[in-house]
Amino acid sequence: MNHLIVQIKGNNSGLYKVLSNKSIFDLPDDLDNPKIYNTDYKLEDDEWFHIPNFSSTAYCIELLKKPFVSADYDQIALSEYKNMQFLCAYQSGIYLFQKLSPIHMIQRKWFTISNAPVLEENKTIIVINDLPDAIYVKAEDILYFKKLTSISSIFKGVSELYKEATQQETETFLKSSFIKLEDGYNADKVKTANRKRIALAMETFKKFTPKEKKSVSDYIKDYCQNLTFDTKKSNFSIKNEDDLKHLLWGIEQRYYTTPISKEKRVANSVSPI
Amino acid sequence: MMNFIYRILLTFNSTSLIIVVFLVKEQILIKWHPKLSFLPDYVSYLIYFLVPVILTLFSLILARFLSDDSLEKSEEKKLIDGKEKILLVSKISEVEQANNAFLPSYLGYFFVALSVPYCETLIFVFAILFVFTFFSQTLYFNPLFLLFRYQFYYLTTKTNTKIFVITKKSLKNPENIDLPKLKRINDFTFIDKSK
Repeated sequence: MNHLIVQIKGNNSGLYKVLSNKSIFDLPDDLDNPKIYNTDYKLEDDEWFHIPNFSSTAYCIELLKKPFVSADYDQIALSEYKNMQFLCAYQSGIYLFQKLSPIHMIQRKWFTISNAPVLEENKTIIVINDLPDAIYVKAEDILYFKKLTSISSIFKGVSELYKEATQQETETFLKSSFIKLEDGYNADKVKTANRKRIALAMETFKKFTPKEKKSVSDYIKDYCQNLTFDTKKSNFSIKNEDDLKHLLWGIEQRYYTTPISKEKRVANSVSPI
Repeated sequence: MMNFIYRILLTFNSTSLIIVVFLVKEQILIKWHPKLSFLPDYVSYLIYFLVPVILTLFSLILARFLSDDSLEKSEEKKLIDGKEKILLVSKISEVEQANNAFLPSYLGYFFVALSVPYCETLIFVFAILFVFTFFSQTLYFNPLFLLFRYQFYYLTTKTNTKIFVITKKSLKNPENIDLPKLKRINDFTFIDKSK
């Protein structure tokens, strides 16, 4: 039997039963080619990120580790609906999650389309999305999701996958010998998007040999002609967020020339083939 | 709302035998039409007894409108002789029959009914019992269910939750328990509607 349960926050925090014997979500049919999470990768419409062996990770919740027994969960009380955090539909061994935010709880006048419409007032309705935010297939022990930010309130700690350079790391990176800060640009002015790129670029840069580091400089110089390069000191002048972005794209070797039409391009999403 | 009405009905059914015992003790009879005056006294007593029986039957019919629940077996992968096999595993770890658990409380009810001297006292005692039974949640023991071949069990799930189940099935081995069509009376009490 299918069941729908809900996580409540506050004094009576815990999982409660909403209803049973109804299928809430349709299982997507595009789970067959999932990607390992990578901040740098933008999913196609028919793709999902996944975390294999999810039950052994630190962010797996207790609900997914034990057998699902609907009788364990008390019926949600009317007064607790306002404290809902996320929904979990249990459908034949598959757990489908939906994060709940104020946009899912609608308190408006409404009526259904019928021969005898009745106007409903002061009744809150909860809207269920077409697609769940996360899907856990117990038999395979895999968690599927599309957006890390949507599931970070359900699975505490999962946002560590979403690496962002700390203030310290950003400062260290900007002090690298190939960077020269200008126009008062400094670590305090680096926004989230570039901090994410710095976290990735630092990993990539560490793996380069001195020879490769030299070639990367030449490569960036070649593609980013708007970046000023000081040949004597061999460093790039970084004046703003945009300059930094181009430099970081360069380190990730996002620039390429199409082999046939010889057009210079930048890849806005990358994944190994 | 449905659930609330149902719980009121169950509470009434499980406590109403007190009134029947009291009416029998006081030898209060139904005032028949003169043409029916040949009927012996026990016909009145039988009718008193039939009221909770019929209400119990009615409550069993109403149970279909309660919210669904289940304790069905679920598929689990297990290694058997080095091969991975999918088995149907029960969700119950312990089962305890509770058919006789109602006896002490029922004997209590009967003694109260037999020793209450006045009608007003009975109403007061009945009201107190009714309220406590209603709020005690787990005490919906109604021996009349036994007449309809229902049995009472305490089940402990594999997640260590103890619940009270009313079912026609005979439950003995926890590994064989499969209850896919339960109805939730309250968070601790479930009734099985499968045939």
